[in-house]
Amino acid sequence: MSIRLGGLSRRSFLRTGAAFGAAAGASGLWRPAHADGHLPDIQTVLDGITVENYVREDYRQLYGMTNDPLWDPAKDWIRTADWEAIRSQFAGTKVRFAIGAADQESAAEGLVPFNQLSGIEVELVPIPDDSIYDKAIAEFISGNASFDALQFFSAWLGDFAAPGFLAPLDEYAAKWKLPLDDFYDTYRLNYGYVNGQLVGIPFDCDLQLVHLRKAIMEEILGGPIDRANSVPTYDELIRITAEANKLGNGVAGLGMIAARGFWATYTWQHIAAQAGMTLFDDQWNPTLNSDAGMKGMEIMLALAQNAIEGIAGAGWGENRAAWLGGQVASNISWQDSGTQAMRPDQSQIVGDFVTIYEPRIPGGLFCPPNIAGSTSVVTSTSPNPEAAFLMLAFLTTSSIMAINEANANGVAPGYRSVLGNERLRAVSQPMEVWANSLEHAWCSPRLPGMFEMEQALGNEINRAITGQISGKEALDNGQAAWVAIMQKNGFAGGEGPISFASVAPGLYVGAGKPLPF
Amino acid sequence: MATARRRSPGLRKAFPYLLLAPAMLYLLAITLYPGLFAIYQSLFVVKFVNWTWTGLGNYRLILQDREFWAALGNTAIIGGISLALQTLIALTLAYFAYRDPLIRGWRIVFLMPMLFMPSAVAFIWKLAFNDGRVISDLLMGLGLVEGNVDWIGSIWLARLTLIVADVWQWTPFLFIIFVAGLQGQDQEIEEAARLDGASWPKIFWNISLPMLRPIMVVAVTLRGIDITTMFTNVFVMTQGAPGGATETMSYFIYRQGFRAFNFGYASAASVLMLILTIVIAQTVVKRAFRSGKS
Repeated sequence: MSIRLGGLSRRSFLRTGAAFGAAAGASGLWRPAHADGHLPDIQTVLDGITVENYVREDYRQLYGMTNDPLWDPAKDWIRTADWEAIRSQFAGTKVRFAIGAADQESAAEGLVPFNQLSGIEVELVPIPDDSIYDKAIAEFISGNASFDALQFFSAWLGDFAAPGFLAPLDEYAAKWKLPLDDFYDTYRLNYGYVNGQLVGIPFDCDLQLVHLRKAIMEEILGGPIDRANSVPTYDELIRITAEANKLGNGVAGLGMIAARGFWATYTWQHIAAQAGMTLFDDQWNPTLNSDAGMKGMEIMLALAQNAIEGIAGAGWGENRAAWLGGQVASNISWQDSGTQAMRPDQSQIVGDFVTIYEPRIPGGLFCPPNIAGSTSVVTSTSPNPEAAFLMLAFLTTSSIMAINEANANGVAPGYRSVLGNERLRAVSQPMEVWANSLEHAWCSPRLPGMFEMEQALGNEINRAITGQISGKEALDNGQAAWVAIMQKNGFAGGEGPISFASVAPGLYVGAGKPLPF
Repeated sequence: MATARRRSPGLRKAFPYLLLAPAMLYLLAITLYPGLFAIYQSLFVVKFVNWTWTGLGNYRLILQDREFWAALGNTAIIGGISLALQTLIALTLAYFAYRDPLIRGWRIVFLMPMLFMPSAVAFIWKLAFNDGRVISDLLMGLGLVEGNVDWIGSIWLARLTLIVADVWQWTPFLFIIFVAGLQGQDQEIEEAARLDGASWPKIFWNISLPMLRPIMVVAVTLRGIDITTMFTNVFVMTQGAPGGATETMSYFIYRQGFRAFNFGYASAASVLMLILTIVIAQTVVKRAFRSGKS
């Protein structure tokens, strides 16, 4: 899950890099890279990017990880890139990367191998962690952003791309052979492209899933959990969470994210999508209060009855704490809830949970939602956009992404070659369900104003959750707000700053595909 | 013999202003300019770099915005209750403490809640009420409730959490000012009243308190102005939940500006809030001092 307003995932991710930086330093790899040709041997640097050097020792021991790669070296961009050519063109240039202030030191170490491979110097632009997004906006608005590259919440992609804040990356991706095809379609299309133009590289690739506590739910279900069939429908999920709620012992039936703003919207989207909800018709008319939208709302309100206290204020952090702390018997959240639940230093429910295939809704679709996630971009004002692109390509390469997942730091890989790796699946419980579900993923379009729309709708859903208005009123109010916001952002008469045809392929990628179970 | 240098009369007149100029310029740059800029921006629909003139359009929309009025109401309710409680508690504590010699030496202890970082305080209260279930456990231990309390699921409970956090942190501000004000009063007046046979509560109520009134008005007004900008507790503890029942004006403005990117709209709301705060503060102070004179 990518929303780390406090910088948790970013920091954890960079800690991984820092670990390598330290390892590289200890093994004598680290020397300052210079433009004058005194750069270390490329193969030696690449050989150092291994499980042993990157993955935390306690996790390696816990799962008996060997030094065998958790990725496919043939698809790992850093092992296929022409570093000699990169060095010859960019050694000595400087790239500024916006990053949370607390991450500055670890990032500096994590980017050591990139500097050694490319000769490109990375200057970190520290921004206070809690305000990195606000500051980024301010920088963009100033028209002279003080950084070349930035990682941010993918829902903002339309907002940042439409005014021209982001540099097009198609040319660089083609020139440097970025393995875009290895990304699952849902990530490539929704985190990368706006109006058919590549402006982002998927950074943190998430999917929302349903997780169950094994012992509690097996007791209720009367036997072992079958990931596809034990909870085949949302009606069944409502039933078993109600049963779990009665058991007491400080464990509530369900955890879900229903705080104001985009949080509540995400959970509603998750459920309503399974009922066949599409947010818009092909003329960009919002269809929130359709039958499918209402069905999703009814289910969400029913589930809220079985949820832990405080869900009206539960964002990602609160939900994660309740799940990993063992306070809920089931959870609707991102896949990393499952990965992190396996790690004893993060979780109190190790070995007592299972991630299941999305429950279905009669007449709907099987389409687990790709919600949130983060992307990485180059700013249009960057004096060195190509070098900045190369830095992002390094940070998002499949080996680093695989190791992030092994470290359960919340930065998720979006590559087929990584999610299909059996060695990695052994250390990430949700990965099989997650990978199989991705071929059917649902996603909301990244439009200008989308973040504002998600906020407005979520505020209304939150009111419905707390009984201030009905579910119907929430969706009607949300619908009205969306129409107004879309008009403000230039959508009218089926036209807009982003064409429906350009986003349509990414909204649901499962059409015509066989179910994975 | 050295000749004394003389400044021209003009320079002599200007000299104090020249000395003040750097500080004045600095203050103007960080207060007046952003203020004027906000007023200017409030007349536009601002979407990042695109500014479209709308005149008073943002103000018209705001005055029709249910969320704006809700936020204003929440600010008045949460702030009003919090301020009343703080004043009452601070005054009560001051009554018992201001003649105590020990208090003089340990005043700093009473200031401690104010010295903690507001975000850290808010986070601890959030843990106590919601995530950590500490208060629920305490109440269950006392037999007052049977299960975990959903503090954020109820409008009034959610508001209560904000009020408790604010009262805990900021009552010392009023307390210390009240104690200082009381301790600064002429003790001979109290002595005279006591010789006339007045009881301690009567002395406090009829003599000390009226004399404290100007200081109280200023302190409560300052605290009141501060409360109207309540943001940190809301941001950390509730984010305006449930359903906007704890969304204060500051959080509303923040949400409009930095979550919805409606900078012109947010600026207009800020301007309205500023006007409202000035009018209320001015009225309170004026009335208090006028009635004090009479």
